[in-house]
Amino acid sequence: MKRRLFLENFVLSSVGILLTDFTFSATPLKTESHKNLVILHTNDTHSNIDPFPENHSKYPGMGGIAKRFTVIEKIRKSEPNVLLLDSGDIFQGTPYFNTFNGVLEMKCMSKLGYDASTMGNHDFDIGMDGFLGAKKYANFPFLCANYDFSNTILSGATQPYKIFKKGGLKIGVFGIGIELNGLVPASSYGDTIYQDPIEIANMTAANLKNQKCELIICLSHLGFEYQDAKKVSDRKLAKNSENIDIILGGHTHTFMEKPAIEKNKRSQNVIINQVGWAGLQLGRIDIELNNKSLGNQNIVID
Amino acid sequence: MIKSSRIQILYFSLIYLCACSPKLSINSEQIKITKEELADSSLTTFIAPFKEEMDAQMQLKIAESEHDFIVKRPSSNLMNWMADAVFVNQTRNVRLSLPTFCLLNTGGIRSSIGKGDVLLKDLFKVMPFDNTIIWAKIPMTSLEKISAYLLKSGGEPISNVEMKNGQLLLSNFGENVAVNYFWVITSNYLFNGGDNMNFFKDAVETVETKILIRDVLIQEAKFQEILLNDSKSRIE
Repeated sequence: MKRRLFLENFVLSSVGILLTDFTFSATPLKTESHKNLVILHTNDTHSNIDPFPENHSKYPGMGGIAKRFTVIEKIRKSEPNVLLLDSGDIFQGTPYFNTFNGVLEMKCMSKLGYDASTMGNHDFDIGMDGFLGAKKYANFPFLCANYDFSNTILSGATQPYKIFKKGGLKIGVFGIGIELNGLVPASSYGDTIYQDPIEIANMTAANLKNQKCELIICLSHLGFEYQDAKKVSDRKLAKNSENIDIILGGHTHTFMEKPAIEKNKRSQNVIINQVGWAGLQLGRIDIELNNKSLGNQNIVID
Repeated sequence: MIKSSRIQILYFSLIYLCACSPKLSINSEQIKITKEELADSSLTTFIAPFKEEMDAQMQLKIAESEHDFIVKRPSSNLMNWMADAVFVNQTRNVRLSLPTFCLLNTGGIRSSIGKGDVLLKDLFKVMPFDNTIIWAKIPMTSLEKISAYLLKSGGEPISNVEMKNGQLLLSNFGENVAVNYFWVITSNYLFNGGDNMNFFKDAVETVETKILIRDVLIQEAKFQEILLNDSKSRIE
């Protein structure tokens, strides 16, 4: 009964140029070097603990964190190597947030087994002390590479990146936040220093590469793209990046039919994905890495 | 179906294969959390007492709605309703000495209101932020900046003012009166630079009410009993 839809299938190289001739045919297949990982991700869940109400004009009965848990657990049963990530804006959007100040969101995400998240602008909505109060109940790290919190009470509460080892893969994950000025009252972010997202992303990714990460994921709350070409976005970050393989985005609440692909500074592919908002969707990206062979049959996962 | 998609995958993979190592191959899926999906019972049980406590507060019926109230730029019934509620509430017992209008932000309306009973919970969803109302007195010379902002943003909730051909038209205040200022009723979030409404920096005088916008919406909805529906566009 279970049916998988392959919305996009592609191979990208972390080294080089795309070839269109079929020179691989003579290469022997060595499947023993095969590594795999399933990335599951959300963004902008905005305190949506319950499904949408049955009389909702757009999303009747959809979403809900307990249903998301079922979907995640089903995948974990068949896949040993799962990373569950969030791209920020956990807070704000339902009375759960106003009633419990973000504590329930953190407790539920911990039960779901989130591996990491980054901070969105709304995660500052009850101030940094409010965030800290809720974060006590999170058993996963918050990754923020370009917010310098050293002069604030969040000093030491977040980390720029985390390295995961799953299924024989070394995966570097880091977080990039949006400029808070104009989005968040100054009193809520205090002496936080916003650092250039592209510069910091490239620095952090280079560091992860040096630490021999085979896959580098950026959790971004910059937004997918903007009409204002000057405004930094995931597309812009991807184009100007080096060493980042995947950007899991948020902020613009963009529902994407399939991930977007951009060429980075070295003409390598960068994948950008975002799954709307409110926990209506769960993004799934299946990765297969094959170091030694061109075993194209590994590409089919079913 | 599955067979043919396998063939397609192989086809794409051949084209994109590279002679260099390592290779990374990727499949993706956006999994919808459907209405039919079963909720995990352990998590539902965990959430239940929180839900009970919240619901006790939130299930209170405030009013009724005969329409779906939605957010749609440039102007929609929910945008109009919200700006009107704030404007009417703030000016009900005030004798205005200058042109006055309400300006809120489309991005700040976080949910629609479905047809049927309007519960306290619904208004919390529409206005989850604890933003307060602030009055700002602005020189007439800055009106142009607000018009330009609305034109660029594509529309924000406004009340007691209209936009025609890209120009804001203030409500008539008597032809012979020289009016050099006007009042804008807005939120502290916008006044303090939120959504880059930089024209608020031109304000010469402010009145901070400390009244929550959400409380005003609740009060006005109760007062109306059936939400007043005005879907006429105010921005053209």
